[in-house]
Amino acid sequence: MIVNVNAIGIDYTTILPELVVTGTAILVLILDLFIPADRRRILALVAILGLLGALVASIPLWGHNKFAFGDTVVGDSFAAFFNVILALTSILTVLISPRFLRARQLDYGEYYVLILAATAGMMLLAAATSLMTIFLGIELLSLALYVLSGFARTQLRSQESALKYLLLGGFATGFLLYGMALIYGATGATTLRGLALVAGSPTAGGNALLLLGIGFLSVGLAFKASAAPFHMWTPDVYEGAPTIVTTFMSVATKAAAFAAVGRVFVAVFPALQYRWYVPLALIAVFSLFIGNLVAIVQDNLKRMLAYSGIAHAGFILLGVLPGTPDGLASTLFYIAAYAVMNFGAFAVVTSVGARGEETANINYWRGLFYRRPFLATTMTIFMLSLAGIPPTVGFFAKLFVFRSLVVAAQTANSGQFWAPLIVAIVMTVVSFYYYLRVVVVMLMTPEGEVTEREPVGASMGTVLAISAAATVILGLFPGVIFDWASTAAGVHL
Amino acid sequence: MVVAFAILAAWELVTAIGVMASRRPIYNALSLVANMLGLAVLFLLLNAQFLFAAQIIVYAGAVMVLFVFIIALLNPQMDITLSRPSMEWAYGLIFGVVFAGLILALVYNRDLTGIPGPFTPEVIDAFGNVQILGAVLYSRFLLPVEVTSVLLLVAAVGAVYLAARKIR
Repeated sequence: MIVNVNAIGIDYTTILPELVVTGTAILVLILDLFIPADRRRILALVAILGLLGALVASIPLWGHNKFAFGDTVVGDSFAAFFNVILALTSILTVLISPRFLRARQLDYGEYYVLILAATAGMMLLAAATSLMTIFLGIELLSLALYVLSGFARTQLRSQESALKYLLLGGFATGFLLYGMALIYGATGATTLRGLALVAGSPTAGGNALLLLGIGFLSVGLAFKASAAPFHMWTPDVYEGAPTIVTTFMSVATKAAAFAAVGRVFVAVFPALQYRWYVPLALIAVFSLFIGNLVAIVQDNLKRMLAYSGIAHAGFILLGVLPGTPDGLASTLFYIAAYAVMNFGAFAVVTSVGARGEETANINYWRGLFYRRPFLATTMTIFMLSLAGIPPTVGFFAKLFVFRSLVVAAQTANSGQFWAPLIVAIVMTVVSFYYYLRVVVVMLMTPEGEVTEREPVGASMGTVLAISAAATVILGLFPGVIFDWASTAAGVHL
Repeated sequence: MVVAFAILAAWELVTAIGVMASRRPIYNALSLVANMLGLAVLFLLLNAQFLFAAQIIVYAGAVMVLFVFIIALLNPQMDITLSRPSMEWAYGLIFGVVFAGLILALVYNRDLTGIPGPFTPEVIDAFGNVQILGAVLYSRFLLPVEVTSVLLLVAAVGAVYLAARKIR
């Protein structure tokens, strides 16, 4: 049997962003051996340069549709869109990391290696067009995040967070793999191209093996996106992990998971939309209910934001439901908006809680406007945006998702899209309570003496200013990002 | 062939129940070893001799030996007792019934054909088991193999970080 490796289409430009990030991770790992402990800022700098390189390497993929390595990955606008979001998130995370890590005596080079590895896994997931690469992307990002959750390894909360994430994550991976095995059994294909061919045939809708496989696959992906009822791990892991890790994880993991959801459901199985609509709509509705209702009673800000993240997973999923590129465009816009505003919100929590984790309790935030006006102002912007109040980007994110459902209901001329839409609108109103509560608490008169604890720091100040500015500016001019999202959503196989 | 499969399937079921039924961790682990050995024989029935060997050496051998060692190092006499049995049992029952229903729906479905791949027993006999596996692994699945190497690196870095007694 003669093997021609070149026949599978070796094209390094399609996976250049992933290669650059992985290469940087290995470089950081080696540099860590030679750099003295008090100069580890250099590692952060190297990581940022590598991520910037990946960002630049993603841009040439825009507008192309280059399949490579035996159809296991693709370089297209969709992948480029996510690469940019993921690289920017990682850059911002690394920018605010050194100060936080030093304060908690966690300043080890492994942190940057793991952040870079997780980013590489997420980028691979966004570009994956085969069940194998989807699985490996998820595993790569998960493995790095398991360790990062337990990065404060002497703290019991962090250990508990890592162990919970590992055990439940392993369980979810089992579902994911089982689903993939069933799909392979039904279709004989591992590449999404091959799957789309089979899924397009008229008998596919009656193939129980395929449908059950898709069901298990969605369970695994919904777990990573922390959508209800597969969200149980989210509050505990978000609360226990070091806040800086939570900041990165809450934004980037959700984006990467929804990249896979979007590609699988909208590009591969659009013909089976009538089959997967109800289960996916149920997941969205569950997430909206559980996320928003449980967030109301949370007194810990990290837990509140975790439940808000579950709720937002529901909103993001709404755009996938129509199974059309138009709907996917609104989902992509929402992911970009969520990345900006949620990253900012968690970054403020990081900055306030740089000394210790008990500051995540809402009581500590009383009168923050008088103690630390800059942090309180930016937090207000992020809260208003998460609630979806104009002129912030969060408003347009919700508007576009709702519009895509209305359009889908009109074109399909069926009532099925109205139910999730109504739930989403009611739950948006409910969410005002717990987002605005934070603002109100920050405005209250402080109980103790007004003292400035410590300055925000130049890098944190810059990152917060960028996030807050982006939240408002993208809210004033949402058209630019939405045009990009529309182009990226036109995924082809 | 069918008889052999039926016996193996029964073996797999019994050992799988053994993994969760016993309250002694060491018996759970040993049941898992028995289960993996059965799985290896299933590979053999499918003409996948290399996977048979790999399954025994890697899973039933290396991985499970580690499991048994760790359990022996901890307290093997300790029984596992569930603190609040009521709710867990209810969840488990609901989930189990739904799952069994799904599997039953599969069994009674007529479309369970699948699409046969290119590697029939004749093709495998002509080229050799290991040769074909290697050829497929390093051509069609080249990128997944490479990504797996990164995965192992990350796992090693993470394990060393978490387990090292003291970091510089």
